Amino acid sequence: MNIRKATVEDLAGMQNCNLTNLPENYVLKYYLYHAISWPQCSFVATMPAKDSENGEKIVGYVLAKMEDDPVVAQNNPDKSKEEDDRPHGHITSLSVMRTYRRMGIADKLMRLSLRALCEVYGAQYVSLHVRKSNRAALHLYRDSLQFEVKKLENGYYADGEDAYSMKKELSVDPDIESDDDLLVDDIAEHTEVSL
Amino acid sequence: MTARAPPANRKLSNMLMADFKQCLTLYEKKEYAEAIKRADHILTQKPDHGETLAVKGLCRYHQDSPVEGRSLINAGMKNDPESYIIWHVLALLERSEKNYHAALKAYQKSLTIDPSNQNVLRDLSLMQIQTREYEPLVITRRKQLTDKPEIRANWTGLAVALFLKGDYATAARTLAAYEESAPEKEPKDKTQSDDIENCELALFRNKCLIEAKEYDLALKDLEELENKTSKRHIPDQQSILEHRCDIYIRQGKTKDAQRLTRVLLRRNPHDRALYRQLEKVLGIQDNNQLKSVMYKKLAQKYPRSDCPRSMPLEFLEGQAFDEAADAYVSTLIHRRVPSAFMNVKHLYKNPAKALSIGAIAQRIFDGATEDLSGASDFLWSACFLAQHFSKLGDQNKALKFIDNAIEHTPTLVELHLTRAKILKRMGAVNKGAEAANAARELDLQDRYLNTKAAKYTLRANNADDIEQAIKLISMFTRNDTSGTGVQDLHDMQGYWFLSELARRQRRNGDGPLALKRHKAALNVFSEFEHEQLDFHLYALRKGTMNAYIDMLQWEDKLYKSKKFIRSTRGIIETYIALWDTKPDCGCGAVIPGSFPLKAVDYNASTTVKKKKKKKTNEGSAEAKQNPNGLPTPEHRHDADPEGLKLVKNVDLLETALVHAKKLAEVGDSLGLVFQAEIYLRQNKYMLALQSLNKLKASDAASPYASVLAKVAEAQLNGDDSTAQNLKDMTLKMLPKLFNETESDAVATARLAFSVPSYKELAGELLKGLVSENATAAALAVWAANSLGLELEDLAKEQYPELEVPLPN
Repeated sequence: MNIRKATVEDLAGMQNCNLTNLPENYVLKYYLYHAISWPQCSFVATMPAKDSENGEKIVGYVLAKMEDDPVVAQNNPDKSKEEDDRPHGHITSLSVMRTYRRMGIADKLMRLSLRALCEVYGAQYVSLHVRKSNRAALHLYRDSLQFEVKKLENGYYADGEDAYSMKKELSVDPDIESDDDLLVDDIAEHTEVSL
Repeated sequence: MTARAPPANRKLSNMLMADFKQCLTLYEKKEYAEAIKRADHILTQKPDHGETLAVKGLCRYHQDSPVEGRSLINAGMKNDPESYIIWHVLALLERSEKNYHAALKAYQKSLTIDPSNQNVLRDLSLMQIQTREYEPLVITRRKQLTDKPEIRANWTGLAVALFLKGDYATAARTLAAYEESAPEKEPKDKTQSDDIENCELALFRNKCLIEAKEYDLALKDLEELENKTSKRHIPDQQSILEHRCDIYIRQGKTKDAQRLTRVLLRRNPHDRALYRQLEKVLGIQDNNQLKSVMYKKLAQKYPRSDCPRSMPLEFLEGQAFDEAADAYVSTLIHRRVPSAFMNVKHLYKNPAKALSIGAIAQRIFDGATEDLSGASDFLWSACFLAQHFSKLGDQNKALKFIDNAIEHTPTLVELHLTRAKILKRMGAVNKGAEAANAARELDLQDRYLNTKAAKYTLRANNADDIEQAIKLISMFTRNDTSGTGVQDLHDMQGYWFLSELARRQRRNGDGPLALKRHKAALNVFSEFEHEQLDFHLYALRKGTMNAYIDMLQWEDKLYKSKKFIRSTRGIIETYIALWDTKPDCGCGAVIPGSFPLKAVDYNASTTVKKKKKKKTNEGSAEAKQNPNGLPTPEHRHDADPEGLKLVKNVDLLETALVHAKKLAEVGDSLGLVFQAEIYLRQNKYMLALQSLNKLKASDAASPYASVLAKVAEAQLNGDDSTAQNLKDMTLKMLPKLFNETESDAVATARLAFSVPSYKELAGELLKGLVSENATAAALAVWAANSLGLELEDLAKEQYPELEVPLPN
């Protein structure tokens, strides 16, 4: 299993993964729009696959973006009270092929994406929607990733199902900033000695 | 070029000129009906006014009258061939028609007449990049920049053009020139978009320096970008680290590269490429012992990461492998990871490793106890062993393990999916579809299971499979008035479904429908190509040049993809088969090895009455546009539901030839073989030989290609003895081809068909294919059948469950 930043070359594979797994689908142009607007915050999980295009197959992805129109919220008197105008990210879509579950792929994809949203794009919080009936996803967001449920949106999905609107405050992970030289050298030394 | 004086008929009175200007404005506002009214008013007084005719033509084009639109523009062009407006109009038409080369020429012509038109200049640059004309693009972009240096996108546009041309140093200087001269925005005026643009362009400038091999400059540049007190500071720490590490590697500064690779690993310990990079910069790629130490250390450091545990399994051998595999595989099984087997499957090319892995699962299976945790071990090790034996080719044993597990716990989805795969490998495609459907029924909310069930159904051999599969997929799609989601899967570019459907229609013998679906599958790729157009401008505004260049490179490889090649092959084969069975062609049958076709009624009417809209659906939630701005499926109408327009009044061979040429162009040698097949049918023997002569040496050695060449040659000069010699030579080459290729039942049968004396040999070769796997066996039985040979009994001996796709 391999997890890395998504590139344009991955988009068709992400689209296929999405179409296989989820009822909300998009044309490739929408994926391109994400990749060209916010190239640093979407990620893919891949497995080696002989027959696939680049020797690997996409088994999971997270597609993320920044919400870039706080102005609209201001001009909309109904929403301005509820909306939080600080710069923030949004998870457009996340899915993992059913047969690749229980490896923590979704969790890892999300953590990488949240860090990029915060670090690169200055997102102060991130929002997403989840189907009311999707207990596994709810568990991931609420329990593992500490999202909080903001509200229930009635009939959010095309098929009429309700969505939980969820939100998480973001801050830069201090561990990443620190240059943890000690541990790094430890391994280097070991390798040196053995050489 | 000398500018000719405008023709007398161009001049309009002041009154009419005002009308013409209004007509243009209305066109731009997309008020086509009103624009046409103005145009008609002008034309009543000046019926041969070229520019008016052209603008009216463009409006008609956008009103869904493309033929009339183009002929009006042509008429306008004839009346006034030197009008920049008419050339511009023609360019817009060609662009809408996706004829980018033609659009480019028209823009160029418009620009030679009126060199100062900024919009035309910009659009010309878009066509140049769409057609990858990088040299002229640089010239256009330079001109845009000279005309409007205050726009940052013009600097970016020139830089990216230079980059694409390979002039990295000038590209870097261009970006720097803007940064150094542009007035800085007040922090309060800066938007989020400005920040992203600054960040991305800084990284692009750095990338230009790296590509220009200006490593020291690039490192200095990165220092500035990283420095929080610098006004050039950017927040994308990850990209800065990646760039720096890349530079160190290129410079051979291995110590620095090691340190940075480790920093990057800490940021993402799930990226296999970083582990490989670390091996490389440590210089231990070929030292398994040291690599083993490295991965052990990293596994301790990153306890939640799969990479340092799974990657050593690729190079470890013997006891070291057994121990590492035991730790890895048993953890996965104990943790009930459904993909446990998929995580090690790639190791099975080494038989010793396969055995060792099987033994681990067997030990867990044997030791599983009766209690709750024991039940979990029992189920997941049984599932693993079923996949293990299936992979090794022992499908009966595999089936026993999985049936056993299902008997214990009938509600575990993954067991049924595994069972479906095993049955498929046994050739029991109908039962496989049933098993996949059983998995689906355990969790009706899960689209993944729905997709799998539909796919297995399309590959089964029941009369109503297509109907069933469409019923399945329609449970998760946006459905049209007929209640199905077939149109939705077109809109959503669902290649998997379109190509599976095409293959199944072909197998069913429905040529026109197979073509229709194959074309829809190919259309996904042309949509991908056209979707890039809007990003040429968008990306320049965003500044995200690295992603944008990735996009261009991805688009360049688009048509070389396996999927595109597979669907194109399918179209050509179907067109040739249709020609072979056309009543007037004299063959009367498709060549052996191909599936037979049902008779096509070439005289049937292709006009379809539009169905009356059901009023009941309107006004409901369904009337919404879908999120991509496409018209909703229920408002669309299929003008050719049976695909008849693709074959009626169509030169089948010439159409096939167009696709065969495209296939050869993207590097698939089968394209040349197909061209030869087509030329032979057209009695163009010289062209057939020429196509075959273009084959690479390895492909030309294929006996099938040789036979084709021989046939062409014999036809050309009627030389019997030469023909005989070639036959003998081909015969000797024969075994080579079939050693390597997997599904060559078709080729074998074709060979026997081309040279009747090969028939006996073909029978032997097909027998050989039977022992390969169930899928090959099913095809071999079928191909043999079409040659009048019987193989089914032999195949059924090996695969008792085999269901051979014998249509009707």
